[in-house]
Amino acid sequence: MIVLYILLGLAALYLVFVFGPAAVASKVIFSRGTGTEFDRAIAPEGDFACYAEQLRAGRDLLYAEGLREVSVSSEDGLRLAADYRDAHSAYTAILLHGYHSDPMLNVSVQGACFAKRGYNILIPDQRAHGRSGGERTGLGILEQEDLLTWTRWLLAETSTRRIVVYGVSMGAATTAYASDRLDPQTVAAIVLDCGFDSPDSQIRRECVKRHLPPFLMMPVIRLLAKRRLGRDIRCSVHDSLSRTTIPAYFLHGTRDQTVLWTEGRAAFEACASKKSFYSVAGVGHAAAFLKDPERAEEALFAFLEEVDPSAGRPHISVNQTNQA
Amino acid sequence: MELTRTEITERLREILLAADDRNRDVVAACTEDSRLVADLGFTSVSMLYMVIAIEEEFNIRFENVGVADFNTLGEVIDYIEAQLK
Repeated sequence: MIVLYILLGLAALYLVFVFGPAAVASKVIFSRGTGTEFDRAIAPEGDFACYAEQLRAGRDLLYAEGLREVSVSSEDGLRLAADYRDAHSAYTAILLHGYHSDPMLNVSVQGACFAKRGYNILIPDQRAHGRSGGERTGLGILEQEDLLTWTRWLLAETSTRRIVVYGVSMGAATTAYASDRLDPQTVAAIVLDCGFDSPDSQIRRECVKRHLPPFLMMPVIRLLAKRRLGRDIRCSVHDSLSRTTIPAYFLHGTRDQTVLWTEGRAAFEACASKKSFYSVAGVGHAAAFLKDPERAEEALFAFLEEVDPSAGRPHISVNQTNQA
Repeated sequence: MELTRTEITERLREILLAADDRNRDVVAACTEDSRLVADLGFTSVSMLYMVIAIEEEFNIRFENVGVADFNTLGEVIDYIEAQLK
């Protein structure tokens, strides 16, 4: 009888101190993104204050280029929204933002670089963010299907013939997961900016940061994630990257404490296609392109031009492509 | 830059943690005799990161040496100390 009481007590303790917190954490982690607001992030006390000038300039240029809202339906019936700039070009850059982040905060500087060179620009709100539907984010695992949907839309509904996909953080993970299913005939290159290995590795790191025991929390979080998302969150981007034939460009800051530099480098090592790694000294998460945008742009487009001679040249129009 | 050996060691511990934050206990307990691969679990990727991070942190350059030239943490500290003088 005493043994029974002890077991019941242990079960109660487990429910209160492990299962309960893990269930709450799981709900919060995969919840709809509230978004890191652009203006707050670049304010003097914000995380991106030191990059305020570049970010503001990038955003203003993109808006000046004329963005309009477009939408598609995801494979599972969600409305996915995006900003689209039509330059009547054969080349389109898809720019994917990070977890619970404002797209302009993550990709406006990069988007401006592509826009200046004549690319069409597509900046989706990832599912469960901004104007897109969905109550659950999949940290890239579900979003990879949405990326494929967007590429199909571009090829069917616009002047697009070739695509460059640029993802930051969760956007990079999304791109990496899809990398072995994107069509190398239409996707010229993928750019992975501080992408993580798997949702599991990221959540584990957050557990450690918050002094929660990962060996107790993670099994519950994995189980609940499997129920909510229908996928195993231990799925590593290395699996897809080891099968991709699409050229891949990696960027990572050496002081990134959200996704360690070594994690980004390991993904680079796993990638099977033609690749390049751009390491930026002394910068943190999602800032590799922001420290010295001119140098970053030069290096990126040198790689793009190496893998696709037309991808680096400014203003490749549909008419010029047809004449070639 | 003038740093004591203790200061170099502490900064190096931070770099080791930044390379792989799952090894907090191992890094906290490491000594100068700790072997980079056998005791600290270094991979080729973490070795590469350590070189880059050390060059940034201490404003030095690894010249005419490779990561394979260092077996223990003490040997890395020796090299940093020599470069700083």
